[in-house]
Amino acid sequence: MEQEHQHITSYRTYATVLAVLLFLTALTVYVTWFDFEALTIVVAMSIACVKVIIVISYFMHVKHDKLVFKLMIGMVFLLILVIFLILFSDYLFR
Amino acid sequence: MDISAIDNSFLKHGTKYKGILGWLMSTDHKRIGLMYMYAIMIFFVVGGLLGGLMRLELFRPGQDYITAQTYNAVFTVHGVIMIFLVVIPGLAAVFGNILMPIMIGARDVAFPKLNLFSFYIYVLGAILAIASQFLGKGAPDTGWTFYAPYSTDTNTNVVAAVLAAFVLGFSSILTGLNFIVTIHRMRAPGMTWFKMPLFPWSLYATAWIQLLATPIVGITLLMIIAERWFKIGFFDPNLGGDPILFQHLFWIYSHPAVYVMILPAMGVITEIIPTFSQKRIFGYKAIVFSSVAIAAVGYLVWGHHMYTAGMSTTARWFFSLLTFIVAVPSAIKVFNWISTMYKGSINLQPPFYFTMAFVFNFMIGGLTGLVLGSLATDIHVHDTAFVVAHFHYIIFGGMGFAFLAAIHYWFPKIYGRMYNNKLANISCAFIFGGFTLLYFPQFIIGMQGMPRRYFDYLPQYEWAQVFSFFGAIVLAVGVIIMLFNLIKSARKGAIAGPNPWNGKTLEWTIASPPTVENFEEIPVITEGPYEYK
Repeated sequence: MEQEHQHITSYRTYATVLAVLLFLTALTVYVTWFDFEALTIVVAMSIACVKVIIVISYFMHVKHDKLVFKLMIGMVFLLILVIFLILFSDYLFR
Repeated sequence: MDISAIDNSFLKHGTKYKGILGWLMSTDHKRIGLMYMYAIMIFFVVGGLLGGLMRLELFRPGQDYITAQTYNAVFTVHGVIMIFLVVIPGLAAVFGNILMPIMIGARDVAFPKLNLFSFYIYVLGAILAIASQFLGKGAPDTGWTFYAPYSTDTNTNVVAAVLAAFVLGFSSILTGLNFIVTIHRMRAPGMTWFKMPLFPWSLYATAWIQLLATPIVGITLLMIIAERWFKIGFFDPNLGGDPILFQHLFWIYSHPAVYVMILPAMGVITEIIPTFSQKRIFGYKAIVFSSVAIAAVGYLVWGHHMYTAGMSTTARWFFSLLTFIVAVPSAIKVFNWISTMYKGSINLQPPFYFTMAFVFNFMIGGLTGLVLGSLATDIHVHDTAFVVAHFHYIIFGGMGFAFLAAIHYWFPKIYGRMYNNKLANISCAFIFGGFTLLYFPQFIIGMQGMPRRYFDYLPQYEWAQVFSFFGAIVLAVGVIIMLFNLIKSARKGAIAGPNPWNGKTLEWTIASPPTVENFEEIPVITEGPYEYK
């Protein structure tokens, strides 16, 4: 059986990631006080995307994983982006 | 008569438990696949009987046997059962489970316990779906699409039906996940991606759709429940919602779900044609890439269900363009199948007849799909019987016939026994004839303006409804003959031997039925899967 490379993440990194996630959560709530009009969803989704990337990279260890898994996850992000673009070809031109 | 292969097979050995528990507790992919098959066949008969009830009501204009409200409930239940319990799990859960690990040279799927868990989730979803018909204030009457805002307002038992679809989605997601990992990690030594048979390839493309698209409909269905219970305004304009958003979210899943149904069907056909042509598949890589292309582009065409819903013109032409693009890889496959048969040694056996019926039906279903994908013509036939006919040509004529082809192709492998060829051919003729008589007239009256989901109609459409009724009877006779033949043969048919069709893929190199472990030794693959000399 081939020996898999294991990466051990430090507590300090986890604590930092947690702090960043809490900050971004607070930011998500804070931005609801402002009216970005058509960009409201873009702002909310952008913050959410950053949070998702951090969770996947650190908590799910994908940062240290094989390229094939990074590609798979990247593909999913691309799919979501394309679905959003197509969806807004309706909402923005209605 | 040598029955030692059957005595040594997975049919007789499995877990430490005996009898029915030996099946219910088994993590053997073949037993799980068979349990899916028996469940699906029961639901198919139930859904078919409901379809027959609709045909009976439509035999004459006016109200005859059931009320309009009951008719609404019947077509909803027919749709929910057939879509969520029969065709979406259909080929992937049954033949994917039974054969995919064998075809890639593995002893089981990557997560056998998760596989059994998926089956139990399926059973739970099925119980909920059936219960939704009897609990609460009447069977749901929204149609299987649960369109908002009606589904958020109606007093019928929508929540249970929606919950059933939600639960069934998890079964689909977990099966997809299992198949992706299995295909990535458990292929036999030497089986590179381009030496893998095409049925597993089609399952791989399908599994990605199951994994990525199903959660969207899950959340959408929960949004319906949230709106009904907590008055959160997602879809109801009175609450600040947008009803078209529901249609977008629903079809973002449900259009790719059509490919969950049809891609494995194409995979089955791609296995059968080389075997019965005794010829290498034409354009292996073109078929692989067309499967992947269908899965990818199939994600992006959902809006063609919504041309008349009030979308922007920009979105409509964009969806129409994408719809025409997705027709290209489908057509590539048909050309490859025909080219494979060209100058082959055609062996006319029941699986091949069902396959030919598939290709014929799928061509009609596909080409009428272009009529619906085109903006101008869709406006004319939207929500008419034309759509009903197109849909059934793809799903029943396509996926359904592929299922029947698959069961006749792999029956000797699964049970170790052969069915009666003559009866199988007769049942194929009845099913194909009945199917055509049932659905083709619906194209004609659909173009003339017969709306779908109506329990009454103008007298000018009566001739077609009468044809369809008799078609349904012929079809039912064919199904009864087929079931009689297969059930009897599974117990008493002649011993089939390991390779009755002279197939080349790995399942034909092992005993029929396979042993619990499939292979005594995992094979080393040195050549492609269809190397007919």
